[in-house]
Amino acid sequence: MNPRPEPNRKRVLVVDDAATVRMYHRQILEGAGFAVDEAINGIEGLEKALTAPYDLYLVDINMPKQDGYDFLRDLRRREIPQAPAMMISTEAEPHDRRLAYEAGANFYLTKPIKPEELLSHCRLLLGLGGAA
Amino acid sequence: MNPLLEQFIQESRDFLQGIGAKLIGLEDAPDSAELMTELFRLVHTLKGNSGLFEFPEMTRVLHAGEDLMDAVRDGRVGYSPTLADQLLDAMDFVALLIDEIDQEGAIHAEHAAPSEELSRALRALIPAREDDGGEKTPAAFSTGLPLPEVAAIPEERRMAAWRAAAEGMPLFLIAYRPDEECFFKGEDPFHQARNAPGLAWGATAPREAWPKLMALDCYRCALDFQLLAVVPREALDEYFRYTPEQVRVEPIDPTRLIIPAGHPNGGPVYGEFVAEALELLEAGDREGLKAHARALLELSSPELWLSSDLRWLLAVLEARPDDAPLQRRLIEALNTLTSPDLSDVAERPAETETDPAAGEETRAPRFALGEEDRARVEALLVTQAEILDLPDKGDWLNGRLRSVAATLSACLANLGEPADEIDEMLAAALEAASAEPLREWLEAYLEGMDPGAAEPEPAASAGAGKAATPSPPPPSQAATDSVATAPGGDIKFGRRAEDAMPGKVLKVDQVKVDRLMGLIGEMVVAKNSLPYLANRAEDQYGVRELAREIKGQYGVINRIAEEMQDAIMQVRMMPVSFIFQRFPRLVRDISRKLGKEVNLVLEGEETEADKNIVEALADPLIHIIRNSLDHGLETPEVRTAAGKPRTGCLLIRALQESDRALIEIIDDGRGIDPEVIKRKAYEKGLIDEARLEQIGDREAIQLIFAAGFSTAETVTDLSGRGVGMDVVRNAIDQAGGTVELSSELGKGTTLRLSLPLSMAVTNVMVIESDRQIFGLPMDLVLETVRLPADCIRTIKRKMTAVLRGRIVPLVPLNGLLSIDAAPIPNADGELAVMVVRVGAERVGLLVDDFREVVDVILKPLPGELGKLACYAGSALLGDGSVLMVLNPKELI
Repeated sequence: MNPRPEPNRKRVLVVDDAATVRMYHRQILEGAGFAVDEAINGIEGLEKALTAPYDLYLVDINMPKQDGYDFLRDLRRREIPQAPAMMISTEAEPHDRRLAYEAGANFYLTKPIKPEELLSHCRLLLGLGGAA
Repeated sequence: MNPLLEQFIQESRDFLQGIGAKLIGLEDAPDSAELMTELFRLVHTLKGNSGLFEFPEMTRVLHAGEDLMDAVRDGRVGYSPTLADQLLDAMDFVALLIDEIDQEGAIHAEHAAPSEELSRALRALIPAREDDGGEKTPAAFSTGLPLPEVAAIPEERRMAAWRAAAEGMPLFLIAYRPDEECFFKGEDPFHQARNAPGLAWGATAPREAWPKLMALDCYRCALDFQLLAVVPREALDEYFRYTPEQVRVEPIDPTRLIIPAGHPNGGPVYGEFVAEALELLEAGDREGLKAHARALLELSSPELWLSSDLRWLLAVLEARPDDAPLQRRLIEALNTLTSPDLSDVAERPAETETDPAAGEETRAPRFALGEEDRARVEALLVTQAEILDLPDKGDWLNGRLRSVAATLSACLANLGEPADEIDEMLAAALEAASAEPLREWLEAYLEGMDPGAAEPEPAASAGAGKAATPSPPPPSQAATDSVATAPGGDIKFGRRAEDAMPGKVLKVDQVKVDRLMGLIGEMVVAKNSLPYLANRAEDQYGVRELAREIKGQYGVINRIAEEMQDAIMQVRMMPVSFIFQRFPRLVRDISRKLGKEVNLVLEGEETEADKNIVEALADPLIHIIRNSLDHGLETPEVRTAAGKPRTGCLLIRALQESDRALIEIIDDGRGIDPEVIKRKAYEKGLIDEARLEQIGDREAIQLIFAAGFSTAETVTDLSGRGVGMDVVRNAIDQAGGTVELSSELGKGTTLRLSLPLSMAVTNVMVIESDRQIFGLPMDLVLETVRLPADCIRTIKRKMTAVLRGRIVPLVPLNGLLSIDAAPIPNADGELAVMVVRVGAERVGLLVDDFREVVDVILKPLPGELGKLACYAGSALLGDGSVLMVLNPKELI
């Protein structure tokens, strides 16, 4: 449970327009020893991803300028290492999940998410095993 | 009224309806978890909605109802008819409040007491929960809240509050502990605290030591609010009336606020000042004392204890110049630099640390255990399979495949397995631009994920499936199970998930739909002018080509207009279940009151008809049901004696028959005795003696529809309200429908209501008489015939003709309309006869000629003309002329 600095810090990009959510994710993930970057919409997210690919993407659906689906599609079009992406949204309909998977998400979590749940999924998607 | 409130009222009524239906449903299926969940959801949502407004009376009752339903759902309370009665009562009360809000925009204060009573009654049904942490027992909870520490309040705030209190305002310390779930209820505790009336000071404090961020649940309210307010008690009670159980309000004596504080700076060296000040105080020289104190205050550093004490002294001199004892103590305190003993009133709150009973158990910050994570990995794998199952399309497919491969590799790494194969499969998949290779591999992998393959964590695999089963469940099933639970933040967060409404429905004000309907009606009429235009183009201007093109175009517009009309009709259509759903409650209540046992069967609830028709049906149907229960069905004893089953049966069935909606109300009661009806009708002067002799049984029964007829021996609470079946018939008539009644003595009664599916467009036949055109509603027209003049005979000075073996009386339309002209026969000497149905009889109308059948929007005649009952209304024809539509029922 204590922050566990990784020898090679895994890099996570949080794409969300809500500052509170970004901060929430950042605190949880940084607390666990990850390097966290933020983007406020898909366009900024893609720019960052192109500069230096990330190991994991946490993506919100509804964002101004470019939504999460478009961001993921754009991301998946690029010739860069394709890391897992997790869609995080308040929508719980199967339809939304399907859209997310089609766009290129690898998992879908419904808000509100408990910190340990978020962290565990991140760790698993990064292949780091679950519990500390 | 503001739209939000309007929406609320409308929605609330829907909810109440739903709640009633579910409660009734539960009577038949008390164990149905589905009904229970739905019921809980409805009450919960309704409560949530009411919380958005200032309706504490309503929220309180609903909250109690919600808690009760919660308990029932969890199996802590058994469902019982008593419980249902209580809840129904509560919902009736809520409905009453909603009506009041609808009419007056607010709830009267006098409902507070019943609201309190009802919610107490509901809560009385909930057994106390042992593990409840006292949350459900508000009184104990709120009194246990720690009060703010007065000394912690900054001096200037204390002083300001004290000054206000010195002027006679009451002073209160308030502890406010919002519900942990408050964010989900749309509450804003911070705002609530900030806006407390007379707020002099406020602070927040965590309820318990902050947990590590990892364990912090940011969706729970973990703060306590501490407030100091100078305000009358009523204002506070009023302000916190929604959440009295979360607030502790304690009056305090203002003197308790007087706590000089600051740096002692060495010790008391002010003996001289004190002596002098006391002298001035003795002498009653307030001004001198003030000047004296001010002088010292100016010399002293403001953060000293001394300065604080002087500031208090000055404040007291200012506000309470006559309180010499208080002033003396403040002065004397300078000798010791300790707070003056004001203990006659002042007393610090004993409890300073958080009340342990009120706190929740600290959730141990811990990582998910092995089995939880194992389930998560399986969910991840199954999700990847789901993704690979998606159609292979989009130019980002490759990226998607690679991300899936990356995710799969991560999953295998978590399980401690090598991921080499995945890279191979990915390469194959990318080459084929298809998910197939990866999909096949994953499928095989999931199939083969037996306990052997998962050996690195054998314990975990058992945890994911059903532990201790001899042969572990097939992994695919285990995986599916985990899919259902693992990504289920929505499930774990309980009520939130239940808020999601199934289906997407748009609520639209009916006025808007009506407007659309009106516009389309106008368009249908406007489009009808095109054929006239075409004819004019041809006849008047001699351009045949153009005429043909116009006609062609007319065909297109006609089709679209018809489809549009049809579509908007569909919008207006609603299932009869809209009115049927109140019947179970109605039947239940009435039959209980009457001591009868009734089994209500509803059929064809999905049958649809125009909203106006369905709404027009509601009252007549209720009346009919009341009649059936009151007069038709017998008490169990009578039924048993007559050799019938104890429980009577009332069947209400809706069905669609071509363009009519049929509603049948069938009971197996005692039926209608024609002899009784005849006698009653005669007694009431509805029929004369001659008729009494002639009238047949079938006809006699119809007499119950006559105005002023009521067979009830005694006027009962239920159906004897001075209105009889004539009201039913009139209502159905107005909606363009008919009522048929048949009854067999001792066996039961059947009522058949037949109604048009829609009243918006009327199909009328255009006829000509004396060179004028009139319309006749098609649903009354039975047939049109042309009769040679010699077929018409005169019997008893009335014209008749034999049509299909029946004698049909003939009436010239001109005569009915007081037009002084004879019907004009056609070239072959035949007269045009339109056979119409008037009530149960057929009448032949003699007209000059028949024209086409048109769809029109029938508008009632306005103003004074509306009294001309012989016209059903007027309609606009395609060429712009007005068609008067006749109402044969009144005419003949």
